[in-house]
Amino acid sequence: MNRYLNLLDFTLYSLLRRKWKILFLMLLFSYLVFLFSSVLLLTGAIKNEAKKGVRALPDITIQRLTAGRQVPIPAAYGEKLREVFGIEEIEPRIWGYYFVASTQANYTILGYDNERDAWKDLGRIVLQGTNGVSLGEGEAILGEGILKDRYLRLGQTLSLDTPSQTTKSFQVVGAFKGVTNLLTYDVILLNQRDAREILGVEEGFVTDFSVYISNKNEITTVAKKIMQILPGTRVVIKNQLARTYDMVYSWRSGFTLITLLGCLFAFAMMVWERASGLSAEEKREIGILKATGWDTSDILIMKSWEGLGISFTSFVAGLIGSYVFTFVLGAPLLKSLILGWSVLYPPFTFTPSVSLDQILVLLSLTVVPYLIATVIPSWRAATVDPDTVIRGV
Amino acid sequence: MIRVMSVSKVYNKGEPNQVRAVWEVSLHVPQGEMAVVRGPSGSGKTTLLTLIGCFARPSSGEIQVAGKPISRLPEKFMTLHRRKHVGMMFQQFNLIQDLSVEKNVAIPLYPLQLSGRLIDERVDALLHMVRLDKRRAFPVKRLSGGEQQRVAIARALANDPEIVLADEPTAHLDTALSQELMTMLQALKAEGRTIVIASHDPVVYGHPSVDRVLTMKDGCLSEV
Repeated sequence: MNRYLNLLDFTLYSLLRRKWKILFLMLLFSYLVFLFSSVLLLTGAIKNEAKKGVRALPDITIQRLTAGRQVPIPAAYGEKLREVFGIEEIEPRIWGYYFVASTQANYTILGYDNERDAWKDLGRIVLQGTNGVSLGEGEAILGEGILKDRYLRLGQTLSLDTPSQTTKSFQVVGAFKGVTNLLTYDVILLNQRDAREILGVEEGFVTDFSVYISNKNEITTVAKKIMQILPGTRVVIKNQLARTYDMVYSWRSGFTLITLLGCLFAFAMMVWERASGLSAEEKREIGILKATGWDTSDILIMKSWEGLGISFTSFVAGLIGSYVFTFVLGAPLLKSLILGWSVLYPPFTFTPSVSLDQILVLLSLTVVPYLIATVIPSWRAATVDPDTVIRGV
Repeated sequence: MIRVMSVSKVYNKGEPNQVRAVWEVSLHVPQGEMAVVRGPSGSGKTTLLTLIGCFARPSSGEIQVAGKPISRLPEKFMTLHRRKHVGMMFQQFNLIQDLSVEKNVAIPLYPLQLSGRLIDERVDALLHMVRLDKRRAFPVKRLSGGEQQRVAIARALANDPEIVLADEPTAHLDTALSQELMTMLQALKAEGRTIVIASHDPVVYGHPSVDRVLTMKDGCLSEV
């Protein structure tokens, strides 16, 4: 034990001799870890948020395609769907995007059906204007992003254009709670009749059907049956959407990581430079240690601690930095890069989570190569005859 | 104590630049004796010291210390032998320049199972002996040549060796400091340590405490 403490003492003292060089190295190392872990943590957090969003989606969504473009689907299809065994609930939905040229933002308009059971929980996520909740004609509940984008408050009026170029006004009777921002930030909730008018969905048609399946293991089977009885429809399974989100964010994160490859390359060069040989001074020191009774294992222990001390401390500093950057500061700049094109970014904070996989990936990219680059050349130098030192080589 | 039997050391054997540094050398240095190996530069003095000190293996021949053969030991045991029995003063001092005096002196003690307190005590005693107590925390690079030589002596004695090897110990010292060094080595001899010095300095080989003077030329040894 004393031996290890003595070697540790010498290692720390030895490092202090080169404190500025070591500090610079550690800053560089930490910065590299910070960059990569920020991308990984942010991507992981966004994927988690997306998964939460996907969980709220129906098991199956049925849309109608004409010439590859989504068009309203006849409401009568709902009756055919009832014939499919295994379906627990069918929900016809009226919804669509509303583009605002002045702010280049896309709003999501949802038609609210006062009669449907599924909507009864809405009162819990709406701040004000809740009376049950029911939405009358000319009334709207807005997401926080819309309120900000249009400088609106409760009781004020929101004007939207119809496809026939007329303008319709809506009184803002409610706002979604901030905690639901990820899902509701750009949402305008209207009475179903109003939603039809703004989106141009005629009576007898709906935008799509949400279908809920009682046995979740049967989702794929039910989806196949639906495709058979409703040809010309697109049947989207929740898992497919989850995979799509996963792919999109992985692609974006991969793209961001590629842009950081330059940093990794510079780091690899530094590691390679170290691995390919020690400086004459470092070799001389190792020779002196050997000549004065140090064993090869003593030198390797010292060099391992030195490498581990530098790389692991920098790694932890970089990781903590990226954690704060991602989960406390909300990853400014980087978030825009990975989240995508929407102008109305929901100001949600990510749920902090760091997975073991992410840490292992980062460790294997940074600490492990650095450690190898420290220990291998030292081992090579330590196996040289101390005779060479005496000769002043 | 030290018995060298027909030892040769050939560098770059079989190559065009082959060097016969030491050739068929035999030597016996009893315990407590001070022997000086003198000779011109390149005569093989340093190589002979490195072989005796287990810093390198001979190409042929045998070296025994206290009756035990040491010249064919595996690397780990060669290190252990150096650690336990040998203290070496190098011609170029071989100190770590930006380490403090005390850390340099303590280097041979770190791999041992000694507590930090014991190491401090040992370093204190050694620095007191070489009169460098007040330079304890100084980086070696700020010391004079004579002071650096004394740090090297303290380090060589840190492991309390039975054998002290000194390679041109007065090369960087003036006459007064050389005399002082010889007095110090004389004291070590009086403690029963076996001392082998490689030097061509008359102050060294002419010193009254020297028991034997040997001459090396072209790798071969002859007694004066």
